[in-house]
Amino acid sequence: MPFMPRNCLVINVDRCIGCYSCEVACKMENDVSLGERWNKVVQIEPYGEFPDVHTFWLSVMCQQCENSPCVQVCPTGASYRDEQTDMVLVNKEKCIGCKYCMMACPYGVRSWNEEQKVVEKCTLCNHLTIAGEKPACVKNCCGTARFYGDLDDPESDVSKEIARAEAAEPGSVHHLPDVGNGPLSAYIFSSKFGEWRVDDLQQTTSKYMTTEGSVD
Amino acid sequence: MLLKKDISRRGFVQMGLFTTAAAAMSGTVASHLQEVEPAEAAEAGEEQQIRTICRACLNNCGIIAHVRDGRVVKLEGDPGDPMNKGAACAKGLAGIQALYNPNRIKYPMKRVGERGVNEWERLSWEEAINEIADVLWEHYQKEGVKSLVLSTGGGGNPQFFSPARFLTVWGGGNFFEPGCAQCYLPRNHMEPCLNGTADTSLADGPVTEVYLPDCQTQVYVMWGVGPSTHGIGSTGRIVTELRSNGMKSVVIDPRMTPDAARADVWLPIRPGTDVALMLAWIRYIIEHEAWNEEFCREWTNLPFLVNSKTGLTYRANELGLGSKDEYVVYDKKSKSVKAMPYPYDKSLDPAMFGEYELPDGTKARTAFQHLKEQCDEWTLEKAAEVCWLQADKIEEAINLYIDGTPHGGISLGVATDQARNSAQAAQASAILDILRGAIRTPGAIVQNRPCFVEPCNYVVMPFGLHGPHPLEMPEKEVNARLGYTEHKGLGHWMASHIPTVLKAIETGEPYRPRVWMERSGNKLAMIGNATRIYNAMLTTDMNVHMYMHWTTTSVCLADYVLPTAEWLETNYAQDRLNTYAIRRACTQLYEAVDECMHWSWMAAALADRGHERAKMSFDPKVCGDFYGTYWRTYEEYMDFVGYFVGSNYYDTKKWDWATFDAQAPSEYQTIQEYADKSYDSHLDPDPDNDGKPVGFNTTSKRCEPYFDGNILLGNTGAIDGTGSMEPATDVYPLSDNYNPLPYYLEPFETPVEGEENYDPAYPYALTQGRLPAFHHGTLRNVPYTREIYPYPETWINPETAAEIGVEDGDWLWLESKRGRTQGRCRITKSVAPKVIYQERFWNPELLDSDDPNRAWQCFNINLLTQNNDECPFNDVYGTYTLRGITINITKADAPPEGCWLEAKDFTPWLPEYSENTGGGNAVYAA
Amino acid sequence: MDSDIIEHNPSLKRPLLAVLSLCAEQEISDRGELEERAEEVWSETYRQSPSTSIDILIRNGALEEDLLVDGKPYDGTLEDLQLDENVADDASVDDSVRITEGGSYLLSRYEPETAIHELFEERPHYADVYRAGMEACDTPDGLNLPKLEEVLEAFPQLQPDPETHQTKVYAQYFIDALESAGAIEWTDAWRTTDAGRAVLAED
Repeated sequence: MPFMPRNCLVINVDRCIGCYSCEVACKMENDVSLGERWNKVVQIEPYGEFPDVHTFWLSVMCQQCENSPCVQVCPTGASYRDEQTDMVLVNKEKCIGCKYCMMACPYGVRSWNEEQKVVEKCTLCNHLTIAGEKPACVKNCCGTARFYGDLDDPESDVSKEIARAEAAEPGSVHHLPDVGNGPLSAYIFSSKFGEWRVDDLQQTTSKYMTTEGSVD
Repeated sequence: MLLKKDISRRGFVQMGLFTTAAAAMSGTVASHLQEVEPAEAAEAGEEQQIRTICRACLNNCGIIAHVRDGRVVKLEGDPGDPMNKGAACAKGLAGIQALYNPNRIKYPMKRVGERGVNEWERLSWEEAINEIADVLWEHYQKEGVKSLVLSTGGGGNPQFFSPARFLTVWGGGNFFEPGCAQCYLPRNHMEPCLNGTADTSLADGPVTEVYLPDCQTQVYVMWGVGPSTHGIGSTGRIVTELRSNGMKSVVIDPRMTPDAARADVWLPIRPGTDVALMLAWIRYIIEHEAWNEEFCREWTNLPFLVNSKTGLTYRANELGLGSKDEYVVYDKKSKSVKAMPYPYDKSLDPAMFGEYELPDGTKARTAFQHLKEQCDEWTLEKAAEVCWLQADKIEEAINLYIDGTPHGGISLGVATDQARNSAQAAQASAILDILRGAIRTPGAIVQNRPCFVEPCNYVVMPFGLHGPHPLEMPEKEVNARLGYTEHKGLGHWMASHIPTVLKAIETGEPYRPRVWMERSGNKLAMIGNATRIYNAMLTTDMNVHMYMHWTTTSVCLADYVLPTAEWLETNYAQDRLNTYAIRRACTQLYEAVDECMHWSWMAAALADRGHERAKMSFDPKVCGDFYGTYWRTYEEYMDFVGYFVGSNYYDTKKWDWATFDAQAPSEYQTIQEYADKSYDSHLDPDPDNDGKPVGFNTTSKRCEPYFDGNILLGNTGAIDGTGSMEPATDVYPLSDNYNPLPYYLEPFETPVEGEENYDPAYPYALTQGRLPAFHHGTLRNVPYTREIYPYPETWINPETAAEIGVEDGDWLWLESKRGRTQGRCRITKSVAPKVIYQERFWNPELLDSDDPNRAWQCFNINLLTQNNDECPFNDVYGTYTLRGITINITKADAPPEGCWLEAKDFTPWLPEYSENTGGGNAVYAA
Repeated sequence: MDSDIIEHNPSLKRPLLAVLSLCAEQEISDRGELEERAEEVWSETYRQSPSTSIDILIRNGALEEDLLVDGKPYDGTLEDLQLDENVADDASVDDSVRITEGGSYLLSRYEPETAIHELFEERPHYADVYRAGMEACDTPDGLNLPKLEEVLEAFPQLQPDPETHQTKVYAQYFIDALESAGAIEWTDAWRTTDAGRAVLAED
C-alpha cells in the first residue's frame, strides 16, 4: 500500500469562541441546505458550581476515522476512501439513500440532502485544498482555532499544533469518544479551562449539550 | 335606483403590475426563488476577486468578494487586512444572503392605504424624491425647521452622520439614534474628557494597541464588552490571539460569554451595578497606594485644590497666587499653597491628599482627597454585596489589573451605556487607567492614535462638527434641540433626547415634530419601551423609511419606503490601523442606492424649490473641501471619498475615487510610526507654546480624573465653560451640576429586597448582550444566521428556574411594568440566580400577516425596557434603561403563533439572484 | 368607533373627511359617481386617490359598501371582485357606499368649530395666543411664517423662563395646533378658515 496522507481537521478548543463562523463558512462554500450542517458547533452548558463554572464549544464534523464504520456499512461503495488522499468521502452518484452510514456514524456528522436524496458530509473542502487553499472553515475561523493538514507530515499545521499543545500541557490533545472507529481529528483543550467532557453529553437543543453539573 | 356602471379598474391595474413587495416575506407570493448556486467555479464567466471591507457590523473587516458575471458568489476573509487577517464571521459570510434577500426593498414605494395596511405601489426615484420634497418644503415654509425629525441606527450605518448633515442644511430640527445616549456616546464623550486622549471602545475603533505586532498588553480588563460576540473577525480574533500568547484578562459581565469563559477572572456582576465595582477598584488602588505616583502627580489634576463651594479646581489668579492659566497646589516643602504652572514646577512637592488653608482663611481639599472620600464607603465587601460578587474574586481581578498595568488597561463596553449610570461608569473607568498611568504607553488600551475625524472616522460629516462653518446649524436651533439643555452630552453627536422627542410629539410642547425620516432597520425592535415610539410615530404627517429590507418601521409606520444599498453595493473608505482600506461595490441591484445619495437628492429637490441653505449645500465655495458639497451623482460622492482619504491621510489634495481605488488598501504610515506616535506623545513639544509639551487634550492639558469640566458642561454646554447654553434644571440627582466625580446609582427598578423601588411583582434583573449571528436588529431575515438563533433564548440559572417552575425549552412570558413578550427557556449557569438574559429580537415573517405589529411584539424585550419619565435618565446624556430593568417570568402555553422556529421555515428567504442594474444611480441623478 | 384612523394618519384627514362629507350629502352613493365627485374637489396635496380613500374608510368601518353582481350580493371587497376570475368581465356590477354611524362620528369629531373649541378647552392658558394667531391670519393675503411667528412670540408664554432662561413653548406648537384644529390653513400663506372666523366671532 503506497504511503497515504492522513488529512483531517484539528480544533483548538481553548481558542474556539463559539462564533459559528465555521458553520456558516462551510454552508456557504458547499451549498448546504437549511437545517443541515456538515460542521456543527455545540456549547457544553457551563458546569460546576456557579460562578466557578466551565464551558467549551465543540465543533463536530466528519472525523475521518481510520476504521470508519460508514465505509464499512455502505452497501454500494458510495461511502468510500479516496485512493489518492485516503479521505473518507461520499460519491453521491452511487448513494441509494439507505442511510445505514448515518446510523453507523457515532458522531452523527452525516447529513441527508432532501433534495438530492443522498447522504453528504464534510469533504475537507478537497476542491479547495487541491488548489492549495485551506478548507473554508479553517480560513475564516475567527479564533484561529482550526487547522487542516496531514497528521503524518510533521510540518503540517495539524502536526505542529498538536506538538505545540502536547509540549504546553501533556494530555491536552483529546479526541471524541472512540468506539473502535479511530477518529483522526484532535481537539486541544487545556485543563485550566475545564475537563474534556464528551462521554456523558445530553443534547438539549441543537446548540447546547449538558454534562454533569450543568443544571444540577 | 342604482345605476349600473363599469367597475373602476384604475386602481386595479396598478396593483396588478406591482405586487405587494412585502408579501414575499413569507413566500405567499410566487417568487423567483432560485437555489443557491454552488460555489464551485462555473463553466462560463470569469471570476473576479474584489478586495473590499465588510459592513455586516461596524468592524469593517477585510473581505474578498468573488464576483462572476456580475453576481457575488462567494465571500471570505481577506488575509491581507491587518486586523482580521483572513478571519470572517457568520454575519459577514452571510452577506450574500443579505444582498440577494427576497425581502429587499427594491424600488421606491408608496403606501396605498392607511398605515399598517401592507399595500404598496412603486414610484420612480424622481416621483418619490419630489413627492417627499413637496411635503418637506411645505412644512419648512409653513411651520419652520422644527417640524422635521430624523433618525438612524448606529453600528449598522456607515453613513452615521448623514441625517445630522441633512439637518445642518435644513437649518434645524432633531436627530436621534436608539444607540447614542444608550450606546457609545457616554464613553466616546466622557472618557476623553478625563484622559484627554481617547475612549476605550474595542467595537467602535479607538482601541488599536491590541492589534499591533508584538503587542505589549499584559492585562486586558473587558468591562461590559464581548469581543468574541461583536466584531468577531477582528476583535474576537485578536483577544483570542493575545490570550493564547499569555495576556491576562478579566471579564466583568453578567453572563458567561466566550471571553468570560477564557478569562483569568470572570466577575458575573449584577446588571447596572458597575459603578459600585469601579468605585471599589478605585478605593483599593488608593488604599494600597497602587496609583502611579509620578504620573498622577505631574500629569493629572489630582493634586489641584478644589473650591468646595463651586466644585471647580482653583485657578491661581483667584487666590492671588499667579495667573489664570495656573492651578493651585499645597506645596509640602514650603508648607503653603502655591501656583502650579504648566506643565509642572519641579521645585514643588504637591500634596496628593489632605485639606489645606487658603490665603483667605477658607479651606480646600485636593482633588485626590475628594476622589478618596467619594470612594471611601466602597470596600470590597460592600461592592461584593451590591454587585452580587465575591470579595476575594474582586481582589484577584484588581490585582491582575494592577500587576499588568500600565502595560494594559480597561475596555469599557456598551453595557454601562445602557442604564442611568452611563456617564459615571465612563468617568470611573477612565479614572482607573489614569491612576495606573496606563495611558499612551506600550500595551495600554488608551492610546493617542486618533481617527482624523472623530468619532469613528466617518467620511461624511455634518457641517460644523469640527468648527464654525457657514452651514452649521444656527445656534438658536441647536439650543432648541429636544432634551439637549437637560442632557448636554448629547451635543457631542448633535443628537436629541429620544424620550423628549417622543414627549414633544405626544404633547406638542415645546414644539411638535411632524415629519420623520428614518434611515435604519427596526426602531420598533430597538428603541426602549417600543410601544411608545409606535404610538408617537403614528401621529406624524409623513414617515419615510430608508433601508435595505422591509422591516417593522416600513410596514407598520412608513408612508414612503426608499431602498438603500447593502454593503456589497456601496463604496466607502475606512482606516484599518496604519492602512486605509476601501469598500468597493461588487454589484448594484434593483434601484437601491447608498443612502448618502438619498439625502443629497433630497437636498437638490429642496434647492430646486428655493431652499436657500440647500442651494448652498451644492456650492463648493460655501461647503469647503473638508465637508464637501452634496452630490448629484454617486460618482461625485465617490470622488469626494477619494479626496477625503488623500487629503487627510496621504497628504495630497489631488485624489479622486480612481486614484484612491488604484492603490487601496495601502499604508499611510508604517506600522512602527503608527504605533510609536502615541507613546508619550503628551511630551511632544508644542510648536505653538514655546516648545512646552503639548500635553493632553483637556482644559488643563493634564488628565482630569476630577472632571470639573462636567460642572461647566452642565452650566454652559462646553467643558471649558465657554458655551452659551443655559443650565439644565431637572437633572437627577437634583442639582444644577453634573458631578465632577463618579457616583453610584442603584438601578431604579431593583431586584434587591429592601431597596427603595423594589417591587416583588418584578423580582428578576434583565440584561442583554451580543449574539455572534446578528448585529443589532439585522440578519433576522437571513436564513443562515436566523437558523442559528431562530428565536430569543431566555437564559435562566437553574436555581431561579426551579423557583419559577420552568424547564429547559419551555416557552415563557416575560413581563415588566411596560409590557410583556415571550422567549424560550434555556436553563444555564451562564448567568447568576435572579439575573435573566435575553437579547433583542423581531420576526420578519409576521410582517405580511394580518397583524404586522406582531412582528415587533412577539419576542421583543424592548416592549419591557424603559424610556419614560417614571425612571430618571442619566444626567449628562439622558440615557434611559435597557439593561437592568426588573421583570417577572411565567410559563407560557405555547410559542407566539406564526413565528418561524424551524430551520426549513426560512426557505422563502434563500437568495434570489439579481443582475447588476447599476442601482438607483443608474436611473436618477439630481 | 374611535378616531384612530385619522389620529394615526394625519395626512389622510383632509381626503377622508372630504369623502365622508360627500357621502353625508346623500344616503347612498354609487361608488363610481362618488369617485367622480371626489375628483372634482380633490387637492393635489392629498397623497392618496379618492378610490384608495374610499377603501380606507370601508376597511375602518366609516363607510359600508354593497356590491351586487348581476343583482346578487357579492361577498367580498371591490378588490376581491376585480381579481375574481369567477366573475365574467361583462357582468353587471352595482357598487354603492353609504356612511355609517362611525363615519358620521368622524365628521362631527373633526368638525372644525368643535375641534377649535376643544383646543381652547384643553389648554386655556394659551387661549389668548391661539386667538391672536387666528386674528392675525384673518387677512386676504394671509401671513407668512416669519410674520406669524412674530405675532405669537410677543406673548409671555413664549418668552424664556426668567429663572432658567429656557423657552418652554415655541411658535411652531401653536401653528401646528391651530392647523390641526382647523382654525388656520396653509395655502402659500396662513389664512384663517371659515370655522376659525366663526369661533372668533363668537365672543
